[in-house]
Amino acid sequence: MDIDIINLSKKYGEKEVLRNFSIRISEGAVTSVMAPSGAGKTTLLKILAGLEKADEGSVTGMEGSRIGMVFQEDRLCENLNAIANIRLVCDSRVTVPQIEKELRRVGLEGSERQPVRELSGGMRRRTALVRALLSPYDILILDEPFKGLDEHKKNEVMSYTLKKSMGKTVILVTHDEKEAKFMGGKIIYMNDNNYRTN
Amino acid sequence: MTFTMKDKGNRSKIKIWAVLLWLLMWEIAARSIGQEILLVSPAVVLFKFLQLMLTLSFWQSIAFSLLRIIGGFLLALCAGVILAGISSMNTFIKELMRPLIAVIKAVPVASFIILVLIWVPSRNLSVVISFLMVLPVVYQNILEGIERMDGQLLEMAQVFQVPYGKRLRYIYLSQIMPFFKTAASLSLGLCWKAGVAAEVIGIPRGSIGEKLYEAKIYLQTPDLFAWTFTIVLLSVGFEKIFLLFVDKLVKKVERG
Repeated sequence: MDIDIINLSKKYGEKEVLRNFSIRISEGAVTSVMAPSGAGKTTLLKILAGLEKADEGSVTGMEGSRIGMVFQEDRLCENLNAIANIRLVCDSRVTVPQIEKELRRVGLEGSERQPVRELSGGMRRRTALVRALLSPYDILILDEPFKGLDEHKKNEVMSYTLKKSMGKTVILVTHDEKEAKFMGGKIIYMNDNNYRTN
Repeated sequence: MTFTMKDKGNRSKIKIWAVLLWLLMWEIAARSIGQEILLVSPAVVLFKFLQLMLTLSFWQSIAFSLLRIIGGFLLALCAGVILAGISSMNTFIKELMRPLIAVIKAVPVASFIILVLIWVPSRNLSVVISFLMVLPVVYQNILEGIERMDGQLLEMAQVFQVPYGKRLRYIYLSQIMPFFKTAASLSLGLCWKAGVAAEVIGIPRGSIGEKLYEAKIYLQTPDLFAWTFTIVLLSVGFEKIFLLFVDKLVKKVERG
């Protein structure tokens, strides 16, 4: 089922973050949202993830769906290693060798058992991404998931993400048009409460 | 050579040379005074301590006081954690607890000892006093730990629908543990000081407090020092063992 976001509005005090924002997100495809800082994209994602309530408007098509998410921050448990962080969100059918295999695919071989606080920013980002991709999700929300990765690594990780999320509903927020184009699908440009679709 | 009193890096490490210097000064002062009743030398204290160790009543007194003081400590630890957990979820309980904790913290320990002596037999006095000294420290530290919990991690757990058992084990436990360890470390010193003070006033038969009281009555200064040395050893030793046990337990729980 497509996700319909209709006339979504949100204010924090006097500050209006979203005003009558409406888009349709196609089921089983990637939808990229391009937005500069402060355009309300994080608020939009928080509403979609169920972490915030909109003041007005509605979101339909997400009822009962499980969400996998890469947050703007990594949000990893610092004292746990990459495997334990991923196991935290996976169901019991996902085994440690499977997790290790996925971590190797994003270049984290040899670092799987280190506490994540000892990993570099890029390694932590990749851990957060694998965590989301291995979680039992119906809808994947990615908030600048490739931030902090060098160009070479970014292409590898984007290909991996695209392959792993094939056929799933993906909502990608990014500043980088190249990332949006690489991931394919619809691109929505969001700016000061105006938006247009490619 | 160094050993660590508190796990806070180099700044809080006690240097052996400093300890030896203080012992030397103590020895010189004891020899200068020349009266054992006023000040005993460290060598005499050590000798007395070794002598006491060979007696059955020494170990019986340790068992008596250890059981009660640590019993009070463990009870307060459980009560503090449970009350802090409830307070973090319920503002009414939190508001209700605030004046109670403030009163427990403000009332002098001597007043509590005398008051509690009216209510409970002297042999169980140190359990109650130890409990009262530890409860506010544990309650406030754990509550602070819960209130300073990383909200972003909790949001992550909510989005991924992490089961509550896993949240408790992997998110809450590791976030609260530093506060728990600080509370345990602070309150262990307190409960020994207050517990033994209660025993000195209540004089329960067979306690460390009774031995200290007898040393005072019969002016047995070497005994007084040797028992004090014993209390310090028990307090520091138990703190180290307890924190080590907590660390191992947490690691085991987190590993699953």
